[in-house]
Amino acid sequence: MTIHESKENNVYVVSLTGRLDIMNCEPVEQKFAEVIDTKNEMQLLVDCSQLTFVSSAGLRLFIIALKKLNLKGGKMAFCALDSGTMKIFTISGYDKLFKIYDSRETALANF
Amino acid sequence: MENTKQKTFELSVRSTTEELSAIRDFIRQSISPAGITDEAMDKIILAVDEASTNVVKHAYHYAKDKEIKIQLELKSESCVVTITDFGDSFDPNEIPQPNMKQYLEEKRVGGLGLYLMRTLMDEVQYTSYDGKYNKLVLIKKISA
Repeated sequence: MTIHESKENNVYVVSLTGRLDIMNCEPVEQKFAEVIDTKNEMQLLVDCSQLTFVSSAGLRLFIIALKKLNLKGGKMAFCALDSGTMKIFTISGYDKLFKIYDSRETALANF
Repeated sequence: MENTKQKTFELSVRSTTEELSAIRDFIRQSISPAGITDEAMDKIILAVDEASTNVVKHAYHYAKDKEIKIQLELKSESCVVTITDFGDSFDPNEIPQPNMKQYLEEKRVGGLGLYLMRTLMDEVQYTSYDGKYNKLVLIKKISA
């Protein structure tokens, strides 16, 4: 799992590359905590264009990040999910909880 | 090991996070020939993944030398997956079923795993046997 981060138009973008399952979700969990709790960012976009797999452990950390941002009045969205990752969001019903955009550009334009 | 008459498949693995991938593969390989829909298969795999993750984290607290047993039964109208562990038990009645919209506005945590499994499967049954072992039964109705 590789994590890249950048800030674009007041939106903090975290890009995830690789597989997100229980074996490698800790650095992502730490990154979200740093961005939301320490840096106090209020707008988080997760770029999933290079994310190849999400397990239930990955879904869990997404929900926890969303919950933290909700409680602070912040926003969280996802973009560029491949079909496999989108399927995981859809079958779990989490696609109804998260804002999901086709591309990074569309997501940034809608924050 | 496959029992062709009963269409029962069994797997026993150590309680390591690395084995979760083997469990997902086992479920996929066991179900694939049965001809059930991809969506039902994906739901079963994700539910079993969640259940196994919970065993590693909560029943065994990441101890790597414990056993997780998975049994998958393909019946005419359902797929039944039983996950057995020999670790700490929990009382599912103490974990409220979250309303997700509401859950996201509350400070409390917990209950996500059961919520996910109940969303993905038709039935979720958990039984602890005198503190000796625990069984989680996940049932998905299939039309194949």
